[in-house]
Amino acid sequence: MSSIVGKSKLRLKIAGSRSSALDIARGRLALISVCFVLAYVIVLARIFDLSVIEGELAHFEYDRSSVQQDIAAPLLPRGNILDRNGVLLATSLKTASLFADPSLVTDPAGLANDLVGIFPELKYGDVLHSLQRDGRFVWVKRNITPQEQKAVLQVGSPALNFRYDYSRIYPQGALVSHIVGTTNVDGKGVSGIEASFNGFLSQPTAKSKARKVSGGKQDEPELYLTIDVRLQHALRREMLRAKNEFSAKAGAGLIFDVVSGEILAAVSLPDFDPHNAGSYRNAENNPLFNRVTLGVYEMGSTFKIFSTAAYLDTFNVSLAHKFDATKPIQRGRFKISDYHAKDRILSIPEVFMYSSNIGSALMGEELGTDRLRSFYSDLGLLNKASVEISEIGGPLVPDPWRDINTITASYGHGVAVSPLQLMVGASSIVNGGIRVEPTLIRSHEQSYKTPQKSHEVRVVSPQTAHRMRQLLRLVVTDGTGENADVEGYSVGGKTGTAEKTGSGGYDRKKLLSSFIGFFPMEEPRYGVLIVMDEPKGTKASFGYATGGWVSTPAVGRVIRSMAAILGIPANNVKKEEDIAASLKVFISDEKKKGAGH
Amino acid sequence: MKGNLFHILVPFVLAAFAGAGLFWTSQNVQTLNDDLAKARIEIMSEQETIRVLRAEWDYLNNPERLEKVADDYFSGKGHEVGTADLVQDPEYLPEPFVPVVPKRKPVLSLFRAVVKSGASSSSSELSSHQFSSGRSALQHSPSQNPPSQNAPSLNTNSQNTYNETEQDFFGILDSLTGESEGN
Repeated sequence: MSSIVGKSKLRLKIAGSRSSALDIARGRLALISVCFVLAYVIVLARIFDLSVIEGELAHFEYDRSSVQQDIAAPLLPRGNILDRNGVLLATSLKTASLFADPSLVTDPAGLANDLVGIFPELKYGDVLHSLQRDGRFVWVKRNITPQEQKAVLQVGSPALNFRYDYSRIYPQGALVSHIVGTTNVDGKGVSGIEASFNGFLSQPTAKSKARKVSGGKQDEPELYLTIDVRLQHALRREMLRAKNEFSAKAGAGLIFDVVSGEILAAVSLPDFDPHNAGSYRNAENNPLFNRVTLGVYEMGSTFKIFSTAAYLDTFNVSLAHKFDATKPIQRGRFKISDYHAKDRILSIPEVFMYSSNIGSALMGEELGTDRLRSFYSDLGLLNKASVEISEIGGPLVPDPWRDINTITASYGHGVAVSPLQLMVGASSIVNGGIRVEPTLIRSHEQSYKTPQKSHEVRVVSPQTAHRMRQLLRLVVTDGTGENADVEGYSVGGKTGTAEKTGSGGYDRKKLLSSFIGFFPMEEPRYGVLIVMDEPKGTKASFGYATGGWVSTPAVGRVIRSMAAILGIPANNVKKEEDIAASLKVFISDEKKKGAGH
Repeated sequence: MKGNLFHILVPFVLAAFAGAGLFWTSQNVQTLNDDLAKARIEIMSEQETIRVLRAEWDYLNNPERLEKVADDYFSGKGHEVGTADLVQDPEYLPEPFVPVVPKRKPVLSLFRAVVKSGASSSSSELSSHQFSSGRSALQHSPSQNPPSQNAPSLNTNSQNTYNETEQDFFGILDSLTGESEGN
């Protein structure tokens, strides 16, 4: 019983006045325990995080820091250049470039030997020298192939490492080399469209930051040209054939949309492989030189298109108007004669189809210097052509322009223009008389469609334009351009054969033979120009190397290919319904066909 | 006392839950970030592959090469696309693939047959005998349902091919059920 009382006393004691202090102590103990438990839980959680979760992430096949870097500042490629149908002309592909850290090289001689074995184009001495330099970075080789990269990895040197960047690839090779141009090793455009649109194609940091990045897709710039690689190939193929057949030194060619001003093909021969442009620097005939836009030449008889159009537009005379070509004419120290002299009075169609220098000189003389010069200026022949490429040749114009220059300029001598200027000028006449501006950049709306122009600059009247179409057609049906005729496509054109200037005046053996053709002449849409530099006559051409023999058949073949490529239906018209049929009355019966200018 | 402890513990428990929630969220964010980074890297890699393929496609389709290939294969040889004279030797022609199209669904009919026979049999496993019987039952169906009328007429062995294909089919079925004819 007493023990029971004692126990109850003890209980009372504990539950008495000191109980609150004990509770506080217990509470504190519990709190400290909870804190410790929580701390252990946190430590355990962190251990779990580090060992399991982070460990799992470490299994990712990429390095997180490099990934973050790639995403934060992705390597952006230079924009693509495409033809009008979206075929790649220039693109950028990621390639590895090899560099070395000389401080990590233990055996420079051995490593240099290995590297020269992989890259035979490198010199052993140069590599060894660079591997022994002070510093921690030296380029060994830029833009190596995957095979070369594999071989370098097999060497296994810690001093070798790769840096990835984009290098320029031209899938069409030499086909469009002059127009597309090239870039240097740092990816900066140095010629052609690559240079003139360098800012657009290269991606400056500020712009690339602002560029929309959604789902990892960068908004890459893409530049569509007006070039059609199919037409480009057809033109190049025929030009190469003519160049080889007549052993020509060089050539220039154009396919042009006479309505929209789009350059559909532009070929300059010889051309070059844009991947190795540097190796052509000292090559024969300078393949890097763009003869279509940069080269300027005295074009010869093709200029008669301009002088005749100016004459008809100014005086509005009948086509029966006569010019005395019975004998050569003497103006100052210049004696002007015809290549195949008719020695008779010629009508305007005859002057044009026989390419009479005398007739054209008389037209120019009658027009006068101011009128002819002003007309040439209106056609853009006296100023640099305006087209979106950096290589543009300025015309060579006589200064001061004397009356004799007017006479020689009327048959294509004394004024040197680029093939592009010739095409633009002639197109501005045959398209109905509206000045056309050449372009290499395709707008989004245009796809072989007639553009809607907000303003037009008329250079000749529609009547003159129609007469010129008739005359051009006559050259092909009855004159010097017969070889360009393609049945069903009503081709018209003008041949030109100019003597090149050498030391001491014009050289009769060095010719510039050309043909500028348009079709269909009822409503011309396409123009084709081929100019061959210094062709040599062959047995098949009876020794002639004139425009009628060299360039005219090539233009005919190009037009035939174009019809197939573009799906242009043939329109066979009867002879008496031909656009030039009404001009036959102005042609004397004694006409002879044959080779000429 | 209990009330005090409760008041003390609740914030701790809540804090612990909040901490755990925060930890879980942070881990999730980190994982998602990594997934996103990985996806972006994969996208970039795929885009790079597409760039290469596109360049390769336009390189292989450049007009000069196409013209050469067309000349090599068609020009001057009297061949025309779609004519049989392009074939040097019919022996090298691959046998046209004729898919097996049984009249009834083979697996279901097979199992029905097995279930029926299984009721009388002591073993519940499919025996090779049962498979063989099922197969022989099925082999009748192709004869009732002959190969497509569109099968090329020059293929004289079309029936053999049909049977071989069918055997392949049964081989697959055997492997699926772990049985083979040898067992």
